[in-house]
Formats: sequence, C-alpha cells, structure tokens
Amino acid sequence: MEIIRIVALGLLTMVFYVILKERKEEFSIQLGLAFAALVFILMMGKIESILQVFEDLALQANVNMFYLNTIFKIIGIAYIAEFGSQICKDAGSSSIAGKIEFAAKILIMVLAIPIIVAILEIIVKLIP
Amino acid sequence: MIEALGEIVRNVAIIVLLTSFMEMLLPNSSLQRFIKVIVGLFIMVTILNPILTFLKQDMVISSWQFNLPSKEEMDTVLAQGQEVIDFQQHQIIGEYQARLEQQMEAMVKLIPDINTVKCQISVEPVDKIGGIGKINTADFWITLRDDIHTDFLVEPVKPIIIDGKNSNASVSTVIEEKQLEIKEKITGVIANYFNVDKNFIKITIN
Repeated sequence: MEIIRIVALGLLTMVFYVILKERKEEFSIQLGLAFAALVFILMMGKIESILQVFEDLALQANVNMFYLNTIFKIIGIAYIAEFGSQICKDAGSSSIAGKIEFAAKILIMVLAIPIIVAILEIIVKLIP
Repeated sequence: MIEALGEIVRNVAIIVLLTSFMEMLLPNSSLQRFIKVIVGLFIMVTILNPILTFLKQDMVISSWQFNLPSKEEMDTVLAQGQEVIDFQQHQIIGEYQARLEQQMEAMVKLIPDINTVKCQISVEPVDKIGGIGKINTADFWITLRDDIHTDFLVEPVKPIIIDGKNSNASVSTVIEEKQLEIKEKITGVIANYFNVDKNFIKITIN
C-alpha cells in the first residue's frame, strides 16, 4: 500500500523534524523541503494518469484543450504555491508565505485572462 | 436539431463531471476560492460556446435546409427526383419519336409514285448533354399509286413467245426494278437527312 509507505515516511520525517528543530533548525527546514519534494515525485505518475483521463473526457465533450490546459496549469501553480507557503509557515516566515500566495494569485489571474475574455466575448455576442 | 441538442446536453454533462473531479484536486488553501471561480468560468465558456454556435446557425436559413433532413429522407427525395427525371425522359423520347416519324413520312411522301406511308422508328436515349436520342431502326410500310404500273407500261413490250409458252416475266421485272428504285430513294433520303444507317432502314411495299 502506497499510502502506508507515505504515512510512515511522513511520521518518520516528523520525528526527525521535531528533533532537529530543537537542535539544528536550519536542517529541519531542509528536511521538510526534501519530504515535500519526495511526496511530489512519488505522486507524479498518478497525477499524469489523472490528467490523461481528464484530457480524454474533455476530448469526448469537444472542450477546447487550451482552456483545459490553462486549468491544469492553474491547479499546478496552486499546489506548488501551497507547498512553498506551508514550508515558509513551518519555518516561521508567514510574511514570505503570504508573498508566495500573492504571487500565485497573480499568476493564476494572468492565466485566467483568456477564459475571462472568452466569457465576455460570448456575453457580448449573445446580447443583441 | 434534436441530435444537436442531445450532443450539447451530453457535452455539458461530461464537462460538469470533469470539473467536479477537478475541484477534488484543488489544494486546501486560500487559493481554492480563486481557482473555483476560474473553474466556474471554464464551465461557462465550454457550455456557452456550442450554444452560441447553435444560435448563430439558426440565423442562416440555408444551413437548416442542409442540416434538417436525415440521410434516409434525402435518399427518398433523391429517388423521387430520379423518378420524375425518368418519366420526363420517357415523355420526351415519345414526343421526339412521334415527330420524327411524321417528318419521315412527309419526306417519303414527296417521292413520286408513293401513295401512303406509315413509318415507325425506335429511338435509344443517349446520355450526352443536349442529346435526346439516337435512331436505331426505321421501318416503312408503303403503298404505291394505283396508276404506277400503267405509267411505265404505256408501251409494253410485246410478249415473246418461246416454245409456244406465253411469258409475263418482263412486266414483273420492270415492277421489281421500279420498287427497288423507290426503296433506294427512300433509303437515301432517310439516311442522309436523319443520319440513320442504311442497314437499319426496312421498307415494305404493299
């Protein structure tokens, strides 16, 4: 069971994290980063299969793949920003975590601009 | 139209399912609200796009004409059209044949010594554009004038008596020659004017 391995690894990392936080705090942050990266890498294959299913469904529904790719990118940005901000919060840098979230929001809005423009165009076309 | 609506409904169902699964993937952070808004906009775009296309199609009347009938209906319409074309072609060929027969009879009647003419032709339709039909055979039934025999028998040759037997061979030979001459005239006229092969012209003299 993959989840048991990940939970075990998480618990182990947590134990080391607590120990290191008291003695060498800088190493505890690096440990947190390493665990985050490891989980991300482990889940990469699963994420790929999920995205493949979504793409197949979208093709069946004649969805414009540009919009779907945009949504995927937005979700990816959200995850990466979440990881980063959580690590910063764990390290006690809430302000830096806030900046990361701010940047993520801006990037998400930038990516969403084509969708917003498309909605506006459709509304304009529908109104006689 | 029903097919198009059905397709739109099917696509909407798939899109809603897709986005529901996507929302499950979203991280639990302050960014979730933003992403939900954008996913909502994505649903709106994907639903409105086909609807907009559908509504725009309605404005063009000609597009309905091409879209509405199914294949079976189109086949029925085409078959009916073909029937009408065949009927018209048959009528045209019949009229063409009747007129050609009249023309041929009139032309043959101009030849001297012919009393009555009855003509019957067979016409084969042609596929060439502008062409109506090709004459296959032409049959003529002719009666000669009653006085024809006396015309060329004004000065009959005196019968020659050979071995005490009376022979009428010269009179019948002359008549046969006259008939042959008339047949050749008719064949020549019809073949030249109507472009019919001489071998397919059949003449019967009563």
